[in-house]
Amino acid sequence: MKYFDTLTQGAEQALTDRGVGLDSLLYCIKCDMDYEGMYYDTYVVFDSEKLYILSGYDRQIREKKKIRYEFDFRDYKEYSLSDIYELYVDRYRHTCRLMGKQKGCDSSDSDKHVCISRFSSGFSEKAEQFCHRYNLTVKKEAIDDSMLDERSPFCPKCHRRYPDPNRKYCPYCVKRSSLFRRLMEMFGDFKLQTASILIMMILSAALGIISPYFGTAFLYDRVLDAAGDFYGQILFAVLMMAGFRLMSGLFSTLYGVVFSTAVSKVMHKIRVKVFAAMEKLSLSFFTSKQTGSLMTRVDRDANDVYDFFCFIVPQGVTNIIKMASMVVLMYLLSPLLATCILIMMIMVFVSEIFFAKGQRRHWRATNLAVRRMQSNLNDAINGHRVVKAFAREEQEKSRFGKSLDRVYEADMARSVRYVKFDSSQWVIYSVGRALLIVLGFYLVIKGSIGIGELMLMISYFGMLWDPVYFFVYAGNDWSRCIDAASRIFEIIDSNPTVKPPVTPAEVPSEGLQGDIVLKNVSFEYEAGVPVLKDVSMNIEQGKFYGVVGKTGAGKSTLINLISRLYDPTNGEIRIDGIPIKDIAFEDLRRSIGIVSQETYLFMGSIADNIRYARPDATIEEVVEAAKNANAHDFILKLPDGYDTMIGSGGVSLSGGEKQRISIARALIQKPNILILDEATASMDTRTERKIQNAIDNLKKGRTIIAIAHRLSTLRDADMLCVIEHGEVKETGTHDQLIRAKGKYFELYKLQAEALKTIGVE
Amino acid sequence: MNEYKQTDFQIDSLRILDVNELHFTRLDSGYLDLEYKGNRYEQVSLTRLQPFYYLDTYISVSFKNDEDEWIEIGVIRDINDMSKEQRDLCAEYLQFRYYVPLITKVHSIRDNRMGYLFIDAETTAGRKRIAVNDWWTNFRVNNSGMLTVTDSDGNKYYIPHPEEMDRKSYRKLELFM
Ligand SMILES: Nc1ncnc2c1ncn2[C@@H]1O[C@H](COP(=O)(O)OP(=O)(O)OP(=O)(O)O)[C@@H](O)[C@H]1O
Ligand SMILES: [Mg+2]
Repeated sequence: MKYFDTLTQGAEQALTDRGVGLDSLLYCIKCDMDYEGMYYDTYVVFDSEKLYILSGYDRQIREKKKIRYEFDFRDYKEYSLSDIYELYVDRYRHTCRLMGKQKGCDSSDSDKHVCISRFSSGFSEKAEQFCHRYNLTVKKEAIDDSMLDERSPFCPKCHRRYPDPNRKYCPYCVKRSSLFRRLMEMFGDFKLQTASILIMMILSAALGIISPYFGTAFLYDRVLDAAGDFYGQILFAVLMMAGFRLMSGLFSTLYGVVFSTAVSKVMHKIRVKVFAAMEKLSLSFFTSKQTGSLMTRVDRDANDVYDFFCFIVPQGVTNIIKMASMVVLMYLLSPLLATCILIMMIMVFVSEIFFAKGQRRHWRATNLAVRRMQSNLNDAINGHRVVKAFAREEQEKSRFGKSLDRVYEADMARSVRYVKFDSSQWVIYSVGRALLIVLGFYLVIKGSIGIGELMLMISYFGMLWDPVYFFVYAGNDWSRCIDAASRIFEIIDSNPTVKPPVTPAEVPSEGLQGDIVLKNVSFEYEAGVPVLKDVSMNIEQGKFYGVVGKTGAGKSTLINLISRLYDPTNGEIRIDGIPIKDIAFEDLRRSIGIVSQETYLFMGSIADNIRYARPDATIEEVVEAAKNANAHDFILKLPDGYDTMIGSGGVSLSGGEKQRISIARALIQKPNILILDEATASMDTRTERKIQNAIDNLKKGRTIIAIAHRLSTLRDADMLCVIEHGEVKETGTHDQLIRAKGKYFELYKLQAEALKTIGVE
Repeated sequence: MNEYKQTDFQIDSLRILDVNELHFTRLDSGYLDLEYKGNRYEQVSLTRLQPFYYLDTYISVSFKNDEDEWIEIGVIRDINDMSKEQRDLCAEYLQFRYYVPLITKVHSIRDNRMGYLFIDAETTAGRKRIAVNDWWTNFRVNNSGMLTVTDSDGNKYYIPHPEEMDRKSYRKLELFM
């Protein structure tokens, strides 16, 4: 038994106790609720004879690092497969029921429905698949699990289900340190730089630590002291001090430069990788609720990582070197004083940590308020048309005002807390310093330390604060960087759900011809919500194929499958006899031109938008395509003709104008298969006619699939097909369908009647 | 059922059901059958129009036709207008249909800084560790102050009045609202 959940040992025992043979079990799911909705573990399993339902509670017992499960038994039931002849999932709002259909007692009775178990709706996909397999087993039909193998829904480490089975990403098991290592590996190409940077960092830190020596111990003991070997050479002392400082600064600038160029290169590498990964990802990644928001912050994430490496890492390294060597030096000078200083440091450090923790709360509140304010602002700006149209300016103003107030309050609370804490810290620091000096002079008088050495200690004491403060706050930056890196790697690592073929099939250089065959194709965007059901159709090469159906019927979905933006959940699509999964993306996209329902134009000139699919097209071809698409005339009226900039910030076009440009974009590709999804819906009838003529011209040797609500658009279609609720209801020529008096006839009658009402026949 | 067969150009409009004519029966399977003005509907579904605000008022009643489409029979203005027995039937059905665990206490919230929040919470259905991805989109506060949490499996949890929870729980939650 491989799918879908595994029985715990206790549960296995409970089943064996009731005479269930574990080896013959086929599938198992674990549900999380009892009928009243309390969290209980219910296992539903079946073999080829019976369905078993075991409920109870899996109790975790920790024993010396090992986790053992014990099963508190509660209830057990079994049905024979012939009794419950079908399972299905009954969905409620947030929970579902696994239901079984039972034959009525005598033949006159209708079917009885029995509730098998209950679970949170998150389990529904698994349950649907379980039901499907149960039903096939009842009917003694073959079961194909190959789809499941690819997407094993469990994390190999912790055996928990992945939140999203399409992405093998387990939030429980990702280690932060491994992320950091991966980031560091990106620096692998820069070994020389890294080594030289490290040397320069050490030099800079060492020189920085030595320089105060010349201003203190050296000055007092060897220059100002009549017995000193540099007696009177004050200029020399000053020069030495300045020189060391200068050298230290020089090295730190130098490594800064080398370092930031290396980081920039690495970041560039990461950005290129992320973008390449994004382009490779399937459409479903962008539309998914769990991952959609990753994309919106990719760039900010890259910046966070950049900042961390450019500013935090070098500072961290130098600060560690500085701190360690200063502490050692201080102990060499005076262990007593050094210990006092160290204790003070630790006290300050700990209190700062506590403060920072609380402060993080405030930061978070502030960020939240700012974020809320920004989304309010965005809303008002993007929706300004609606706001104005309904004259709700005052309402928006007060809404925005309120969110501003929240930002202000959060900001104030944070700042006040900071000021209070900071001043108290300052008092402690001053008192501590004073005590230190008093103690120091006492030691000088006693003769256990020289005055110069004391001065050196005091200047180290001052220098120690920077590293301390740095380490208090570096933790934040570190986790922000790792946070960002995890999202970046998540994108880089995710596997596309629609995979390119390993060994692409041979496609002639003139592209695919367009014999499209769909065999029992089913599809669902979200598990358990079938959008296409068992669709089979035959589209012949060189024919004009029309698809009609109500809105939401699944027409665009059909197109998405043919152009392989998604893969069907079941069934197969072939073009020219080649399974679509074996056709290389380039060949497929080269042969198929799509004008989709949602027109999207890129930022850039009109000419560039038209030749998007074929950037090497000459301007003549561009104009030709635009003429065919009836776009030429309106383009000429624009201020800069074909060079007019469109997209955000450029000229805005009307809905019909945009559609015409996207038709031109598809036409210039001269594809063998042309797909038009409501391509002329926003145009007036005259323009539509013209475009239709253009498409007619194109028809020779091309396969055209057109979706339209207006039946007149499809008057030239060789074949028509009506889709309803994801099923093909009718296919045939216009005349056949009219004679059949089915769905198409109804639609046709409706539209004809509508024309009649305005006096057209 | 003829009354509700879609005639092609009929304008849809709000149809308030006559509570005195409604007669629901509950089957063992938990489904409801309905008799209304001489018509029988099997396995009807009750849907709250405003599930956040009004639990007993404005309940839509619909059935599945032969083509598997849900067709609305009408809307019950207030189930309290029905006979006690009928009212209880409906209320129980609605409660079942809209069942969602309520979070009663928050033991801890941990942000793993990788886009996930782990909430160790006590719910009306028992204790549970809830993993929430991208809390910014999956924590929702509605106008009446109710917090809705959607976890990474797609399960939902409610907190009707977060500010009325114990202080410790509230302080933990507050940061995410
Ligand atoms: N990305 C998606 N995720 C989930 N569901 C989707 C998605 N895209 C479409 N759907 C659903 O699939 C169903 C079919 O959608 P589709 O776009 O194929 O309809 P259509 O026949 O093209 O309709 P229209 O005539 O309005 O364009 C709809 O119920 C829709 O809500
Ligand atoms: Mg569509």
